[in-house]
Amino acid sequence: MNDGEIRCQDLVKTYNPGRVNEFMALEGINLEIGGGEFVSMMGPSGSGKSTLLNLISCLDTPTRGEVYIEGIAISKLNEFERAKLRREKFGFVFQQFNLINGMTTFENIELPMRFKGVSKKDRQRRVNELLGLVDLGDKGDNRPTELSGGQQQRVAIARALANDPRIILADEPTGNLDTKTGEKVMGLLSSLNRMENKTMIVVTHDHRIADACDRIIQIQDGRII
Amino acid sequence: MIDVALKNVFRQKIRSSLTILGIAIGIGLILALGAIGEGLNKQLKESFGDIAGVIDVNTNFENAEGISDDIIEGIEDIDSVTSVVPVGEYRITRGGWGMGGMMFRVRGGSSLTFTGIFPEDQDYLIGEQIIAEEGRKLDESDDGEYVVVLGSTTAENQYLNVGDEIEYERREDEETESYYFEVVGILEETGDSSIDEAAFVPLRTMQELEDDDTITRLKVKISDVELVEKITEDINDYSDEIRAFSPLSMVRNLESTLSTIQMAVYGIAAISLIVGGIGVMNTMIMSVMERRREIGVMKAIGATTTTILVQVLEESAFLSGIGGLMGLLLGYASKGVITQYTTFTMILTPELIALGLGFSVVLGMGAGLYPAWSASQLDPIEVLRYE
Repeated sequence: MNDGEIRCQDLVKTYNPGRVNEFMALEGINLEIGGGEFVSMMGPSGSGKSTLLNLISCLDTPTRGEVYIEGIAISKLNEFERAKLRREKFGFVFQQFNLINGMTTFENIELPMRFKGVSKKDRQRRVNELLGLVDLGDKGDNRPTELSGGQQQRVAIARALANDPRIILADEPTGNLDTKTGEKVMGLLSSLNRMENKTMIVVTHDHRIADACDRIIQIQDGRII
Repeated sequence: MIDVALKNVFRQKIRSSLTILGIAIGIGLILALGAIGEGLNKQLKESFGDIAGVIDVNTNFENAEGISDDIIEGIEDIDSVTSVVPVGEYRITRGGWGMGGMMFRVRGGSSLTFTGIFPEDQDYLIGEQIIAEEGRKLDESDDGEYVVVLGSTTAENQYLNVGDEIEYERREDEETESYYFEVVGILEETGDSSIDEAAFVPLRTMQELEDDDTITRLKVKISDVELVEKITEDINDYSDEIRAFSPLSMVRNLESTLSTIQMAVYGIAAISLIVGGIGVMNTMIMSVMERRREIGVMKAIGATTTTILVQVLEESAFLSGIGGLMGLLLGYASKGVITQYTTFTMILTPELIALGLGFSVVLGMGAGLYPAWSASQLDPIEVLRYE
């Protein structure tokens, strides 16, 4: 079992099973993403890519089939273990940044470590390290609302890296940014992939971003094409 | 994550302050009313404390002969009776000399009663710790002398001072003869009307004067206050000529009335606190609603259901705990104001304070339960997709 390896086996996700509005979002996905791989996921709205991402990130459970994260079958985990997996194996980057506005940059980055129970001293050291990495060393005390979109997304990336996860899931990370800023953010993500060998899954509509990845996974109507 | 909870509380300053105020008023009310209750209880105990172990024995209505020596001895023989103090009562109908030689008339009703006691029994009757505010108490050399010691209310109502004289008219056949009793002392206020409204004279003086040694009343002291009701019954059983009555049973009645009133008052305060609790719940529900997305993000990046639950409960407990502290201040403030401007005694016991603070935190947790539960059940997928 490889560090940061993801494997999906016959993955089926049905919403409202047995009801008139039954909807099959995923119709048997088989997918393997190796540790350290940089893949992009593309597909039209409603194709099932968000569902797939939710299953991989343990936010949702499959109707059938299984997701293995570094060999661990996630359907066997309870709520607490899945939360632990999310904060330790995954880093999340969202289109809307999803920073907590009531907290400073420093506190936002610190949050996953607090959930994990990291000591205050270690948190402080790690946050400063990450602020340096995303080039926001002087913004620790600022609120997210005081930062530009690009800066906010870099804070979000720093937060995603807090517990040094093996896998980064980025859902349209550049969707709310202008082209230039988007390129910078993608540059940061790909350098993390190269330098730290993190598995990187980027959901995107942008072909230029997708083309820069090791592999493109195309999803349509709940299947990989 | 207590620091986060505290921070969240103050993100909506006005809303949180008002919620806190609601709790503060409830807790303040409980403390203030509780303190008044404690004060009343203490006053009651103090004013009846000295006489709790005393039984009053009066002659029966049909019996004008007074209480015989046989009966006195009989009562003395009853178990747990430590002493029997005989009292003679003599009514004055005229006035006397007061206010620097002016004639004074008895005020507040047409009569004043002299309570004749043996000076050596004085402390049993009045209480050892009661001192004369002016002048002195009776002493044994007063036997046969025309002196009187006044209770504080009597002195005040009749405008009498030490050195003034009270005229006592003795009637025999058609003749009246006046005797003048000098006021030698005025007692401090005791809160016991049987002392404050009395005028004590040496019993032997009165017995010689009237040539009559009728005893109309007895004060029976007992060793164990708990037995007071039983001994009262024993005395009543002992003779038909007398009627025994214990002030303690009156105290017990008063105490039970007081505790009923206290319960009602606590009930009212509790309602105001429940209203405060509803305020906390309302605020927490709103706060959770506003932060749905934030909570969803926290769950997505690895917060457990428990983390969210505890966090919201902490916030709720903070709101109401701060309210409790403010309520404590309000309680103290109201104590200051009320004791300044009224005659109420207020006592904020540590138990009351602990009750108030403890109740506020428990209330806060209770009010936070539903909002915390609903926050912890938020589905990050739903929240992040639609907002």
